[in-house]
Amino acid sequence: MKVLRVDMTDKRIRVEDVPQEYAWLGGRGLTSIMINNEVPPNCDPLGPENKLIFAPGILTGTTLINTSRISIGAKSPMTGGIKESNVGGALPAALSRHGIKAIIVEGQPSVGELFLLEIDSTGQAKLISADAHKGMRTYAFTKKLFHTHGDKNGVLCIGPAGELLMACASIQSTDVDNRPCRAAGRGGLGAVMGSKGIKALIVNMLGKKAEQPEDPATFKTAAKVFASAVKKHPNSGQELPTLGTAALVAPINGAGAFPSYNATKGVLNGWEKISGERLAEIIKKRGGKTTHMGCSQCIIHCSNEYVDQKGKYVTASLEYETIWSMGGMPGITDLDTIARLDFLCDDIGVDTMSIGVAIGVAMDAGYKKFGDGLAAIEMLEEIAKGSELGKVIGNGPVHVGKYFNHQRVPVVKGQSIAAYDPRAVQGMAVTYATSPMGADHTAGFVVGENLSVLGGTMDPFSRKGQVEVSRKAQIESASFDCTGLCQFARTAATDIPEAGEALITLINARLGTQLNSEDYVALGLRVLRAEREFNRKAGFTNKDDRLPKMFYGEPLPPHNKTVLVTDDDMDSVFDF
Amino acid sequence: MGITVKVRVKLFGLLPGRFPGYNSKQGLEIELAERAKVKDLLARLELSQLRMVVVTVDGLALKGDSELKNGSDVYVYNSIAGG
Repeated sequence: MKVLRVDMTDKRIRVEDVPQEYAWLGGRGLTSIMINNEVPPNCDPLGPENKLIFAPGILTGTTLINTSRISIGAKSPMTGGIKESNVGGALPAALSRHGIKAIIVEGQPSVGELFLLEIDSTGQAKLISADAHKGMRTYAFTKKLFHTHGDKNGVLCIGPAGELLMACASIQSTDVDNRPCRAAGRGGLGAVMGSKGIKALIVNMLGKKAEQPEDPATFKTAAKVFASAVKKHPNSGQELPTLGTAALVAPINGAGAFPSYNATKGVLNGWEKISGERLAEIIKKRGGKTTHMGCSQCIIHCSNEYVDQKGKYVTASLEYETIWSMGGMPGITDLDTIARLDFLCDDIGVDTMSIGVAIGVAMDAGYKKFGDGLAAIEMLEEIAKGSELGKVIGNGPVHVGKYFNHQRVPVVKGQSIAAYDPRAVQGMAVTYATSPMGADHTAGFVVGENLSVLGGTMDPFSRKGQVEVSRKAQIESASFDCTGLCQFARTAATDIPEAGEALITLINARLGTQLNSEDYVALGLRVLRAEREFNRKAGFTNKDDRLPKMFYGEPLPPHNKTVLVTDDDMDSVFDF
Repeated sequence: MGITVKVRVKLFGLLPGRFPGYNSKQGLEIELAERAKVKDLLARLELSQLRMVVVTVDGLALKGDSELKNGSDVYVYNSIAGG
């Protein structure tokens, strides 16, 4: 394996050996530890000192199912701290099969210069002028790229928002059908890519077979066990392929934990119109796809294809977090409007979650009425134009709050919460407040532990035990994010003992190591320590590990609870 | 059976498929013994094996040992995972 170092100041690409320190790392572990080692913590996130790092997971590029994922890391222009956002699609597996463990993009080109970074079929990297593609939206841009470079490529790219350096800019990834509909959305990494003058990373998928593990026979056996468990588990084997993540709309509303109308209520009036059940019904009736393979080597197929009344493609995949951010937060209960908003976010290149929350804050401030779908679409179009309002929305909820002088802004470290209100799921209060990433549900997902019947004994309204459950989930997530496996395969690894054992075996067979389950936990701890260290050096203190006042002072209907987790609780999360 | 608890159960996600003829508007009417708990209801519905199933009544997520009240509308959902 090798590391590519791309200097955008002098346009030089160097091929480096993988330092021993990084040999066992991949994904989030690699991006976060490299950033902590190489990026000055107080640098301008959009300046030459910041680095944008692409790193496939440890198991990416092998024959194992559901491993086409890549972590992208940098200092975030949204949080001012360390950031890792991971995404699937076609590119991650292809990049790893070229033997590339990481791409480090550093320096900065002259203002106005824009490039494609291409890895060709022989694994050679080169920079090509992208002047002809300036300002292009992602669907038209990738269509053009596949026309000129061939359709056997995977692409990570930015849209107008990334070129305009907006804090909500995403990096879009093409799916197996060559559509830029999957996103490394969180934290504004699209703006960092724009600041480096990179419009797209394009990786050829031809001519390379799966990476051979150090112990192929053991790997093959364990891979079969793991795949079988993913198929067998009711969530990854049946629920996600049938209803996708949108199945969560009903239970989270049912539990009063669906942040609605800018998180002033825990139930959206009319949520049944945007539920997973309703979504599947509409898609089926119109001839779309309720299940779809979004990422290479995926056997779960949680994705879908939403079509209009004439059966024409609108977007893929319409997922729970987007249905919440574009539905719950702005109070919109029309799936056609939500699907249009999802498409526009992908096309302009912005995070659906942060933008939906930004729109919700603007509506709460009185700029438009809750439920006004056309106004939401107009706000998104302003982002692409780069207008004054577009910059406000495109830079996220904090900017919207300042612009409208509105105090109710549901963010931590500048990044919006996700689709689980921390007042109704107190464990998520801990994760949102203390994750080095800012409010991030994937950093320590403890909704099941709080709300399920048999999976736990926690009271979702009590602070008791929430620190412990969030800490455990954050460590496990940090470990798992190194593997390159999809989070939806993780449930099987957690619930089915032989799958959990197979995961450790797979890592060892891939790397030629003798790691045990304790070493796996230690990996997560190492990652979290590096991320915390970077943030501390960047000026973060315990006071940044807090939720905004609204969650402590404004009771959430229907339960009328507030966050009860104390500051001392928050400060004890990283006592390890 | 002596004194009993009757609840109306509404199913979400893939759960309706387990009950042939299930009507989503009417739900299921289930009669259980007095002081029956959520876990008793799940056992009756043969859903006990679903570790992460969610049950709510009046907007409250209930645990297995929560007692059911006569006349309640009980909502049962598939597992909470992903997001």
